[in-house]
Amino acid sequence: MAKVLVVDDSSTVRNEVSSFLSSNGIDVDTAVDGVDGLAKIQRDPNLKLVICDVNMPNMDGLTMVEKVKALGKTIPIIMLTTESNPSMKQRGKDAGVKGWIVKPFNGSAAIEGIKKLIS
Amino acid sequence: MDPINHRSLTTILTQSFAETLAVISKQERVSINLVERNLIEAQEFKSVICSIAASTFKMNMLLHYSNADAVINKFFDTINSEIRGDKKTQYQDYISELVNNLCGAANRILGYAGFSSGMSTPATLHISNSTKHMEIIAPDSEVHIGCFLDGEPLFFGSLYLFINQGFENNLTLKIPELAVESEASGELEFF
Repeated sequence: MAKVLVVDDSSTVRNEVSSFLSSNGIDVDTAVDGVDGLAKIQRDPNLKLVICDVNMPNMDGLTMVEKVKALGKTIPIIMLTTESNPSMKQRGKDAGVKGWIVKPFNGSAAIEGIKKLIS
Repeated sequence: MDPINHRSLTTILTQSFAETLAVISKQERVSINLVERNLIEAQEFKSVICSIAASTFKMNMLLHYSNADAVINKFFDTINSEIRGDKKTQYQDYISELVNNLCGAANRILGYAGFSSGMSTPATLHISNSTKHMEIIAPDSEVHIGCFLDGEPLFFGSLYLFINQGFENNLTLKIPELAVESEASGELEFF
């Protein structure tokens, strides 16, 4: 089964996204910040997609993406964030981010794209 | 108080609440209405703050919420989310995430209107009567809103405008009313 990693410092967001993905038959793991997320990406070969917040303590989401890229990992990453300013998105694009979702998370609006990325 | 700036502040606060609540709440039971500050000051609320900063102004958005069990139960009855674990802990986290979303929506509205601004992460204020504290730092304009479930208050929001020194006489926030559709909130934009 495809597994998605949800990285967000908010337990509300982790719960919401996890519940929605699970109800759609997608296996989910969670991480509380970029440090935790990076560690899980490095050690779990079953991950097919990462959904990641931008602003988090310890390590922010875009820094995590840059570190994933530096490790040579090709796992697709999409950002789930309240941020939508063009320079932030450009930094994401430059780091290899595959997509951007503006919070609040609306599962039904995003699920087709998510399924496409993990298929 | 500049009437154009005040009207724009009203539009930003109303629109950001409407956009966010459209996604997270059971809309048929929830209503939002502008309120006077004294309605918020009349009750014992805690507050979470999130800020927006641009080169010519700052804005503070506050969410005022009650920790009473009855309100928490009503709150979770209203939103489209499952509760996991301790309800009070989850409520506090949800409130922080809610003000983050509201401030993000306000920041996007400013962006559509041509203003370049950044926003902070939410912070819980460990004081009571936060509106009175905000008055001390003399906002140039302020607007307040209430979110009601079946007519009963769930929480309140405040948006304050502070014009930076040197721009007091030449900042006009022109935010067209209802000109902004949500930036496909929740949809996946592929790169």
